Amino acid sequence: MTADRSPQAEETASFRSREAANSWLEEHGDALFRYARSRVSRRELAEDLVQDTFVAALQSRDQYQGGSSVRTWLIAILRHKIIDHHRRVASGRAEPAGLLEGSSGDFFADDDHWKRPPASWKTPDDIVEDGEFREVLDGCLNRMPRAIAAVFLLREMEGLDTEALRQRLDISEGNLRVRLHRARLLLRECLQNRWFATTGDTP
Amino acid sequence: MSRRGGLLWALTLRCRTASELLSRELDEPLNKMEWLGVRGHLISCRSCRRFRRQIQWIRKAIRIRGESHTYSKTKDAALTEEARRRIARAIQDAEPDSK
Repeated sequence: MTADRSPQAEETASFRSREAANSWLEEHGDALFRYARSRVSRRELAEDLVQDTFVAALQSRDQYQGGSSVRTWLIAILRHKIIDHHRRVASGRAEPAGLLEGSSGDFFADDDHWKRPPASWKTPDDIVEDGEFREVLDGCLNRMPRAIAAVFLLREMEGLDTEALRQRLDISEGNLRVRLHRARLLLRECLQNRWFATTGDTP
Repeated sequence: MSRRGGLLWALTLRCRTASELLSRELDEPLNKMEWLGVRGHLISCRSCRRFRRQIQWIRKAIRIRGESHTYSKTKDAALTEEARRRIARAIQDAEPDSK
């Protein structure tokens, strides 16, 4: 501690930091929330991640170089929080044993053919921005086993490659492939049942 | 023998294996035999052709979902007052510049 870091000076500095964090909340809170909400499907989780982001920003304020805008810096922290959340869920050991065994078992018959062959989908370009479709998509993601959905989202939404995934999650190549395969089988079938089967497509 | 990865394996693989390879192909390149096997299978299997198209489409849909903050104008566009107060409180309680 140097001389100018007297208790009084510390208190002032800490007050200033909090003032800054509060003005960040005022200015960037909604933008961060929108970002979080687009990446995670539960509102409360998005709020928690935004909260963690502001607290972390306050604590690592010294590291802000001023090179990028405050918002860019905050979004970078938030993205880190989102990835870390998925990572923790993905490496959770709470999943029932056997979940990952024989992963494609329920989708294929003994002769290795589809039990329920994929039907034709009508996929107009704009449906992804349709609020109703988004709710169905979120619902399907939420119904997937959490440890599988988390890996899938790290891959498809956060864009991590398989090497990065293996390192961060500390899982084998085979386990990673099985989880991504199973996620795609589950999500595809869920979307078919809950969206495409009800939109009157032709076979 | 249809040893996994051999020529006979590639020529006779079925939907279960094809779907594994089609999924993996979205994440990393297949080797020649795997590529050959899955292409051969797709020629004769409409279900797996659909599976391939659909998981590619799902990838696109998830990416767009992840970018939705750029056009979102729904109820999710802003923090609720309650959440905002909670976050402000967390900022007050946090230890700034903790080392």
